[in-house]
Amino acid sequence: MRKYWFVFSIYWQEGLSQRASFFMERFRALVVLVSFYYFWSALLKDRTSFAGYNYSQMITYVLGMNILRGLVFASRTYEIAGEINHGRLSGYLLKPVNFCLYTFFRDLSEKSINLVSAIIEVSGLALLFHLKIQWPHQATSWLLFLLAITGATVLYFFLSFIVGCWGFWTAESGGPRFLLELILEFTAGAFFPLDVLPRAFQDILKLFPSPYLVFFPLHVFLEKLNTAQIINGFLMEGFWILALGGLAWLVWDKGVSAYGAEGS
Amino acid sequence: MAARPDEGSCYNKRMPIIEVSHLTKTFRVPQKTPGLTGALKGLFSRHYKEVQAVRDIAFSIAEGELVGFLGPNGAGKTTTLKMLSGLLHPTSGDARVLGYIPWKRERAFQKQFTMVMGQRTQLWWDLPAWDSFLLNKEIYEIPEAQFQETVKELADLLEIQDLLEVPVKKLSLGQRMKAELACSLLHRPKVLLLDEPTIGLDVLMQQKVREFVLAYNKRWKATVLLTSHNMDDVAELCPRVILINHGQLLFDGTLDQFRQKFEGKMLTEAMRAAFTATH
Amino acid sequence: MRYMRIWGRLATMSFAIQTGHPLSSFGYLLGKLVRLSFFLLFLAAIFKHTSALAGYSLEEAALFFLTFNIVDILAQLFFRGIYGIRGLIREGDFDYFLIQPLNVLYRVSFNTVDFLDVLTILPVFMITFYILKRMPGGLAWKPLLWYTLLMVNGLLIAFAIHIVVASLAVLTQELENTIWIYRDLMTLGRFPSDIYDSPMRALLTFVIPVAVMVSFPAKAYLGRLTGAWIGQAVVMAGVSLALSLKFWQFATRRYTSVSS
Repeated sequence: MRKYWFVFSIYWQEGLSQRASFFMERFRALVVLVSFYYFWSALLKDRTSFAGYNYSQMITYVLGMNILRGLVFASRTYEIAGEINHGRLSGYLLKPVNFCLYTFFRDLSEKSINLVSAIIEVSGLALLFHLKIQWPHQATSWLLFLLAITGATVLYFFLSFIVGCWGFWTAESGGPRFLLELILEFTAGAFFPLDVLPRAFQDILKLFPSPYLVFFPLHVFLEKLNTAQIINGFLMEGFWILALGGLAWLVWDKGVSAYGAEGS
Repeated sequence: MAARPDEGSCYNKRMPIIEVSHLTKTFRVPQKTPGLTGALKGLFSRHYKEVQAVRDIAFSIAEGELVGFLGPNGAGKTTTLKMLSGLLHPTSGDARVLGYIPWKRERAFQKQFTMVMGQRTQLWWDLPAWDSFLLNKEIYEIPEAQFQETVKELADLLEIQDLLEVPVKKLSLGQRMKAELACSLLHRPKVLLLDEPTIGLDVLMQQKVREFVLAYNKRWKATVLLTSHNMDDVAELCPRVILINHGQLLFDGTLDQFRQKFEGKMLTEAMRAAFTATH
Repeated sequence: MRYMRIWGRLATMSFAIQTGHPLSSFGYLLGKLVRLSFFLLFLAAIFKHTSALAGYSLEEAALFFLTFNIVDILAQLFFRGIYGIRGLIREGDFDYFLIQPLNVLYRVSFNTVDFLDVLTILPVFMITFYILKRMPGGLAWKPLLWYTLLMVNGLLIAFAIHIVVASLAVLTQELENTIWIYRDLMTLGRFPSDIYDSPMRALLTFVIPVAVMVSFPAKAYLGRLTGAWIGQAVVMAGVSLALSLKFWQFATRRYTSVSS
């Protein structure tokens, strides 16, 4: 197990040394944050609530969105396709290392750097604009929130891992990946809270894994759910983790045998 | 093609095609200290080292000559060639190619020379060479009839007729070099600057490239300046040799004179001998 | 004209390469269209809860968003080559450009033409015309003229920004990510600039003229832009273009003096 923590630490160092692209990513996140802050402030200027959110809640959502994007969506699984297509995967397969665990810890280092940065950004913005964040009133909410985001992190990892494995079957996974990530971002509530959408849309979306990446955890944080909804949410999240985990395992298995057969 | 007195050129038939005098190029290379403290210091104060790539060299080349520019890595050959092509401004000194000052990069001048850099290509990787040919046709404003004629001649000479429709990435290194040569000669340049054209090629292919350059030189009376650190290139191809090392011109004469002077010596020994002889 | 033919050639070659990767190209195309649709859906959903955003109706807000897309996509269509300039320098292609009898900036900008941009802009144009027709007063020609004028103006500013980025890449050979800063800042133009407070708006008008490039055309159509502002916008474009070209000349001159 120690070797995976080592993986975590070297990618942390590497991440820091890749300053330019790191700052670019954070800059992008900051710009999204700033534009949505102004957007919602303009909308809620003359009213007390919008789609069931008061100003404080909406701001908390927007800030939380930024943090969760950093934690859940930051990933390096796109490298997997490249590793497969350029034959570098062989190196991993030959070593006594579980590639899935390896990539997970690589991702964790990426996520933690982004998380730290996101927290700094959000705190900075909150101080600058004197924003009132709505914190959870109960300790259990914190616990449930942490549980939800852990689940979200694992869930997204499985999803992006599967997408990375597309490299086994095509050298052109870049475009489809872009498409999928965009759909995921929107349907996860990572641009706006899903309850602004019509009821029908929401109900359909709740059947898919994406709302559990950002929307559900933030609702737990904002304590907008009753017990039944919380239980239901966790059940769905759990279901998707198992389903996607299983699918990831299956895809990986099939992929590796296809890879070996080609003898790159 | 008869020489016309174009605006930027002061060329007439009696002048040498390439004329270089007191050409010097000095680079300021930033020094980086390794380690974290070095990197931090580097943010505030930069130390520079002056590298004299080319020192006060002079030579002139007449029309139709085939000159070999010989020297080890880092001798200043490529830097000189880059100055003659207009890619680099010299620190001081003068050079004229076809009567033009190269680093002014005048269109009329650019249409009359070509530069081939070994191991680099101007061909588009994913597409057949033919597509890159068509692009150059537009860039160099080559008339259709002349274009077709030139392509046919070059393809025959280089034996690449069947390779033009194949994506460049699928060609072998030697085939790619041939296609590269064809592409760079579509506009029938009068001056060829070849920078290490045979590098990385196998012995057979090196021979073929040399044969082609010789044939081209004979056919179109083009002036060829070729750099190499491979003695065979020069020995087989160039009646005239210019030796350069550490930016300095050490020898400029015929191949026979070169052989006489450095009879039996290896190139590196020859360098040393030439260096000590001039000091 | 020769430059048109060369553009045609470069576009054809880029297209040929793209058709060699159909799955990837299709994925990107679909992704861009999805992003467009999702945002429009988002706007429509927002306006189910409210009747105005910073004083604008749904159609008006949509116009701002669509204008942003038009400027963004057209800028990418025309200046995409600059995104790859660092690669061109690194691989040595830039050196070839310097010795060929063709304007180097022209060659760099148009070296890659993304056919997908052509495909994405068509639906954007169609939706924009639909929205303009739905406005009170319908599609009016005089405002449309101002709209187009300011859009072209915005594109010239975008071109100036791209030239500056290209020059930086040539000078330092390190700042390849600068163009993405521009792209990200452009997204601030997705919404009408009125949602921003005064200091932010000033920033977006005078420092990083996103508002001038994107919001102004829409505002001009809606008759909310005074002549003084229009004049200012034109001056801005002229000045930035002139300065950026000078900077480019400086950068190429330096490149040919310094690189080895």
